[in-house]
Amino acid sequence: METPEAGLSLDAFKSRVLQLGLRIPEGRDRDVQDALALVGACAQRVRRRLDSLREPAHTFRAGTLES
Amino acid sequence: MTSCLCDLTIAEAAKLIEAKTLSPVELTEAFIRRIETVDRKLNCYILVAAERALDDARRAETEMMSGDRRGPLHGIPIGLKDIYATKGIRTTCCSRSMVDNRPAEDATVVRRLADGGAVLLGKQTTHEFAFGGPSFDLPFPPARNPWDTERFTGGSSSGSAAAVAAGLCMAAMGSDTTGSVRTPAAFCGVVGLKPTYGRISRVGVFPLAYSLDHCGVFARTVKDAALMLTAVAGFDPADPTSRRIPVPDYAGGLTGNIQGIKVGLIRHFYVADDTASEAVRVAVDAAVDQLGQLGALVEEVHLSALQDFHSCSTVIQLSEAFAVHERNLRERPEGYGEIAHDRLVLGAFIGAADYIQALRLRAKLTAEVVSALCRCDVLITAASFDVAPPIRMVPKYSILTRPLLPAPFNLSGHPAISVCCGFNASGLPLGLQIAGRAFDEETVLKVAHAYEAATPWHNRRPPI
Repeated sequence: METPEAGLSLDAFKSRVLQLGLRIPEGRDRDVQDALALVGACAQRVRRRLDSLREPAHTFRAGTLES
Repeated sequence: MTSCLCDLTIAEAAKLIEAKTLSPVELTEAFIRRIETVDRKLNCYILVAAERALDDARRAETEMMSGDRRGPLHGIPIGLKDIYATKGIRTTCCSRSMVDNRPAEDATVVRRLADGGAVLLGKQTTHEFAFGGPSFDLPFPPARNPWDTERFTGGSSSGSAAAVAAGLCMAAMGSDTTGSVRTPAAFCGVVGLKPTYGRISRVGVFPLAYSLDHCGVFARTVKDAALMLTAVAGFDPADPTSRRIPVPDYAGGLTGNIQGIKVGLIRHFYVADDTASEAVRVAVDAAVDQLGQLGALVEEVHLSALQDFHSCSTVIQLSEAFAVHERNLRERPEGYGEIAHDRLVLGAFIGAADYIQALRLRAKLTAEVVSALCRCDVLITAASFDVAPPIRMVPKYSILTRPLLPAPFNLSGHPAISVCCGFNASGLPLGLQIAGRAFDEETVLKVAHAYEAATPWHNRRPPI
């Protein structure tokens, strides 16, 4: 992810959660922040894989196989 | 007698009902009694619609006696994951936020099952909104695995898989976004079929991730899954993703002959990209040998790493799931259990560009699967890395910590089935996954059926 939540301090992360209009109960916010690091790793892997495939950006077609 | 009736397959029961030697009422009563006796240990049902079921069964019996047979599901007791809307019957998604939800209309699938004369036994346990589980802070307890009640069923169609395995219904409808039919099918030792994206209408089925969600079928045997698919598949103008493609008689295509069928083995998914347990590897190797003995031509095929499929589907799933729940997460977060809530909020942090990049990669990965299926009639791989884990040891973020073997075919939309391919030393079931070309469920079912007929696994019953 381009967003840096995973690397923020816990207080800064809590502020970001409030900015997004969300509420995460006290004590669970650290879990969510840790999980975000895993999601961020997924997003980065997607970008790296696209780069390695040298997929030209102008060939995108939205939708799934059958849509 | 009760447990004998509950051991019948749909195909067997349908023959007896057609011959008027088995009454749909007698059959339904047997299942209701078994649910009353057994389900307190398994929590497969969150609502048993006994009166409705008996009404359905009496109607079926009257129609049959007057020579009006609707088909092989006429008088057959089935269950529904509790994300399928049922007119006037509570549909909760296993969430506090929906405990009083009584839909005004049936889901299309529910209507089609009723048109086929099926008997609705009740609504089955799911992970909250088909996403968060197993959870212990919901209005309904999590389903338990009938092979070992301290074990996880897999999810999210947890109650449906467990109910079919335990003989608490003859078949059930689940949903599959990254494996929510095939994983519990593997963990519970039953057949779980996710057809092609667009094959079964999703109207009236609560969404998790729009572009990955598929309705799916659980049954004791491949033939029963084929009978269910024939009943529920087909074009629905109310579903924009539904496709106008003829629905064949799937059960009629189960010839047992797979001579010359080309099978592509995706071995690297479970031996290199991540490592399955020895029991899984041995069982899949044996299944490959078995398919070869049946005349199939097996070759190894290579796709992108499983982690590429996993990363791509994770970004898409979390983004789309957050879009579904955005308003409620902001306005009524207390309506969610901890796991569903804390998984769903992750999607709020994913940027639009990341979602688009994942869709771009999805097209490439799908093209790889299509290419492999140009050379092969079906692809096979393991359905899970191991047997069901202890229910108390499933991590909150299990969906992130390890890739899911079924997910590649949600991303690509291809049909895929899980069938039992053995048991580990502790007697817990293992699953083999078979995927096929878009809208060619016939070949997937044919291969699965031939394998099933050549192996004894589907005859075992859990010790419940």
